[in-house]
Amino acid sequence: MSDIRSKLNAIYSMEQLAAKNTGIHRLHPDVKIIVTLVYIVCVASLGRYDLARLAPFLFYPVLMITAAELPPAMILRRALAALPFCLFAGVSNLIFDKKILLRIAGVPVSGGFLSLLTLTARSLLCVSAVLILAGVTPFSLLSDSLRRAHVPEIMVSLLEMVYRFTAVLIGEAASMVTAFRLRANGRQWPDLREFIPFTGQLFLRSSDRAERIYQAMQCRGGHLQGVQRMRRPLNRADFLFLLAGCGSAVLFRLFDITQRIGALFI
Amino acid sequence: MHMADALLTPAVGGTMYAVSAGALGYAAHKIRKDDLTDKKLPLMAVSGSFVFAAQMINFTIPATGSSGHICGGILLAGLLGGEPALLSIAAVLVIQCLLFADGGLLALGANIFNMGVIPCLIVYPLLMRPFLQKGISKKRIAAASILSCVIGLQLGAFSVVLETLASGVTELPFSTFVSLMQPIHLAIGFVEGLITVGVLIYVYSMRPEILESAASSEKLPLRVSIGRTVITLAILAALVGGGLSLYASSNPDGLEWAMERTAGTSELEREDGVHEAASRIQEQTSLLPDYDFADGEGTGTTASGLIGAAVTAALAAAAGGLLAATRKKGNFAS
Repeated sequence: MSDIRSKLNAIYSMEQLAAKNTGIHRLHPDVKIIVTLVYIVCVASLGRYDLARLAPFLFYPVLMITAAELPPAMILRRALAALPFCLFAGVSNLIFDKKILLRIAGVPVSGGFLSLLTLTARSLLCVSAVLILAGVTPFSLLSDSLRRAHVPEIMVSLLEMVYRFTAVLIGEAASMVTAFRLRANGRQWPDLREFIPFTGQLFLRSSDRAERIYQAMQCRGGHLQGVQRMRRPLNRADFLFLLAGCGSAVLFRLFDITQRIGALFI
Repeated sequence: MHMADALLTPAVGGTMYAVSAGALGYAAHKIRKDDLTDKKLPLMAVSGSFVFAAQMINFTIPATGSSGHICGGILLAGLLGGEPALLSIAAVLVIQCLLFADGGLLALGANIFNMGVIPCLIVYPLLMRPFLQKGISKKRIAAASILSCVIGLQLGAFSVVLETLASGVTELPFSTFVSLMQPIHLAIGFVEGLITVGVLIYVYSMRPEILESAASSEKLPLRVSIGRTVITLAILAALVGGGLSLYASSNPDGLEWAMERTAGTSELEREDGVHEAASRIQEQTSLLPDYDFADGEGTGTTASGLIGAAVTAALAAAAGGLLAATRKKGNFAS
């Protein structure tokens, strides 16, 4: 139950974060999407043992979280939730890649261990970048960017509607689970036999709701043609952010900065 | 089955984006052509939200003490039809990616393919729809749903294996990876199939027009023999689940070429005597003399890399702290 409520809270808290008014929030959404994509591609394209080279990529989340006044603990907590499958793939490296690549103060470090750490760090950085994007850009502006990118209107409208109704239906599911628990003598979840009418009922309620939405849309002349798009030209701050964000990511990807900084000390 | 960005290389992620974008474009075009847009859109949206919400409700798995939840690809396809279901699943995956970090942005194309394109555009039109178009009954719904869920999840899981191995992020041999993924998803597919059967029969008994509309909204361009399709897909699933893993176990390097290309191990092995000499010098001069390649082939590359990483991370933290302090000062000043 707390899990269902936490999902609801996740939606609402992201909306609240995206509604702030910092300099990062005011940047053009297209620019933020491009920088995020370039950042993720640069991080994901590093080699499996390039743990040290991931360090400069910390600048982006750290600076963005600070500048946009996002709660770092929340971003980290949500990023950690994405780790299990990566750990599954990474832990297998521990078993299969036993070649000793390093010795740190005499302690051998296998390739598998190094690649596990790299995979974990890479995953955290990529997920953080996506969460930061969602935390500094309202969903309506993200979908507007899709319209400008000529994504078919039906897909963008569908995305917006699913986003809007997900919170409503999760709330409805939470109410149904509460009702079940109040009558279930301490059982947390329905068994398979009860689950089916439970879910079926949720769908029927949902389709009734869809019918009402359709009728409301028709009453208000709602259709998919001529949806207004945000028209804001790029300003100097947008160009600067684009240059700094993409430039630094590409620079860190092409040149081993950590190597050069480290060389200064030895 | 949500894949994260760290599991894919940009090349594999980009390819899957292109494939999924093509499939989504086709689905959008098909819906527009069939003039289903206005009426179907709210139902598609609410159904997508329904799957999202239904995933929040766990069910107790008998005799295990654990619980699970539905995935919903075939269920949505049964309720809406293949193409509308694909768009709905894609919308759900985008929102899960952005708000809940379930699956990465780079991996979005792969996730849409594995959980949307396979069940909605491959399994549903080839297997489930022909079953239902010949007349909807409880038996037909049961047979079509269980077969579709099992085959859909088997193909999806196999696709995850291929994408991960082609990206070269895991040392798991192909055969081991396949033998871990396929049986797990066979069980999941069967349970998912049972739930899908139950929900579809429940909806059919309460509102038969919903299923009838989904099954009859798009006629197949060609006559499809159900028997032949089932046999073909069953052979495909058997090949995926068993045949290919046997092949792989007799040819253990079957996909390892891809891993070699991305692992960078050859680079590590290229170190030579010159590096050994440099290593000895480094041992005498460096701050961490024992930190190097274990076989003495390093050059201080690793040590300076690590020190550099630590310094860089510290710099990043300091920059963040400085920025926070500046902002705080600014807030007080204002």
